[in-house]
Amino acid sequence: MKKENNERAGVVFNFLKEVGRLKKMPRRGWVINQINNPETIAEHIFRATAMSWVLGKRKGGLNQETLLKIAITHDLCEVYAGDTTPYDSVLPKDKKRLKELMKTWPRFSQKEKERNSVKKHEKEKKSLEDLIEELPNDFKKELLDLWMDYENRINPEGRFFSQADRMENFLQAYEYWEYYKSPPLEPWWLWAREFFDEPLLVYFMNVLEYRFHKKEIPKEMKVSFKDLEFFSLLGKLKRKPRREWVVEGIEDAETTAEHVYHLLVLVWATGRENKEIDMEKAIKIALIHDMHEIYAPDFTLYDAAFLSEGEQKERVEEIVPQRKKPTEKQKEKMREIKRESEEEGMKKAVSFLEDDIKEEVYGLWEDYSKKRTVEGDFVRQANEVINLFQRAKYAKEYKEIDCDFWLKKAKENIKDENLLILIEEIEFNLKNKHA
Amino acid sequence: MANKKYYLTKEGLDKVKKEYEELKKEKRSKIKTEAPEVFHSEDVNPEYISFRKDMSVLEEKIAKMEEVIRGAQMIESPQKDCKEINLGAEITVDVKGQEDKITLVGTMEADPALGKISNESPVGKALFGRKEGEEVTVSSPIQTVYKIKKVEYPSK
Repeated sequence: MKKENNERAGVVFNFLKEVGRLKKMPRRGWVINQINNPETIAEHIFRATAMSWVLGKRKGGLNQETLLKIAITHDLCEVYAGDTTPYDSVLPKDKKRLKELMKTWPRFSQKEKERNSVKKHEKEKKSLEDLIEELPNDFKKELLDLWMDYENRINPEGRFFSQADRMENFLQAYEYWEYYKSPPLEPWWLWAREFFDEPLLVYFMNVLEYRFHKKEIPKEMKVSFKDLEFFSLLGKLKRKPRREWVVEGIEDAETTAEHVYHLLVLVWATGRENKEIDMEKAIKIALIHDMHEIYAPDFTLYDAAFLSEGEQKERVEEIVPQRKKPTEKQKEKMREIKRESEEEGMKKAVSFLEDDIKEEVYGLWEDYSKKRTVEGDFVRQANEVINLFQRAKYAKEYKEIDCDFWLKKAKENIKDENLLILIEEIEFNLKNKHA
Repeated sequence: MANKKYYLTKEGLDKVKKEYEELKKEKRSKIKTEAPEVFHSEDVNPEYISFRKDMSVLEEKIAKMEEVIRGAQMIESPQKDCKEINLGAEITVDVKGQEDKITLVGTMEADPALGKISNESPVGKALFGRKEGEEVTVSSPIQTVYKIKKVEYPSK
């Protein structure tokens, strides 16, 4: 039994490790548009998942759990296949010509369209199959079926998400355009007006236009406009390095959005074994558990050691060299400050949402912060494990990073059986650097 | 409430029917192989709840496919020499000096990467009912002119 458990944990460990690559892969469309420090694939998935939740709820009649799972799965194929763009087969090497090309939308012959489409699908399917090969059969089947739902667009959830996914992309294009005046918008509109046909998303396309071209918002658009503001706020969690790693001196540290994405995968991969967990709820909790960080400071344990007046040390270099661990009294004080500032941050973040979704999101966040449901408690434990996983990964690159204290803490806190076995696997890997 | 209509080609409808049959097959196999023991008793345990949930997702999918099959409207090709754009039309357009061939389809079969544009998309709506030789302007916020160079219908 022990051997079997270890094998199972090893499979999940490797899956997490491979999926973690998406946190280091910039989206290719932005790279060829020469956008500085572009989002990663994991960050895109994070917001696309959140958008599919809110927009899916607005549309109605969709199975939310399926929709969220399709969102988490849809770009897993890019772990090995990489990201592709419609420009790939016509890319010039010369930067000036590339810039000119990005002002146009590439058109292809029917034969080229079919060839590109089949090639992309086959490459991505193979990549996904390789990635999930070792996973248990039922999970493997679920992932592949959901990905095919997305690719085939026959089922309503797959059809809806394939467009919600591109809407996230379109919104990101506009956000870069507003900031960098790039990418050029014309090709985006040429594509979008041929691509979107879901009435809600065609409508949302108009909302984008009103928002970014500074037109006066018509009354009937107000609700969707608030949704858009909310999505933009979520975008702030992309490219926001986590303070926990920054204070450790890690360069190009994982961002909050990337962390959330990794947590989503862990929650699903391990939570599915616990039949008491409502997976839709657990996924939603994981998705929003750090949403307060849009406004609230991202406190670390090290901050607590400096907390005498309830202030967060702004200058990382004041914290890093000392790496003081807090006393019990400081920890208690920290919890209090953290709780208050996070509650305030969360209330501010959800204030953009309409009442129905606001209540749901805030309620789920309380499930997490107060550990008041099975799912809230489970995601909290999973969060500690994914942090340990990431810490162990950094420890291999940065030798001075301490893992022992966190490993001990996790062993004391984690109760879920599957997560405990995973901790053993993390420990094993830490001790066997070649594993 | 009137049933929603889904405009499909024969190939599109066949694809939906195939998916429908596969889902039904999966349901039968799940009942046969995965139903927990308690399925036949009054007890409620997590395995049973989880099984019921899986089943209801599957049943929901089947019901949605049934809805499409019930509301399917076959796309009828008009006379071969018809030059007006309807569903099923293969249209050669000139967009900003670039030629492209697009097919106007219903939402279920839309696949813009393959040139299959939905009749419910902004461009699809603008082209619908227009004729060979006409120019269609899609505006807001960037104006684009689609010159309709050729309208054809594939022979059956």
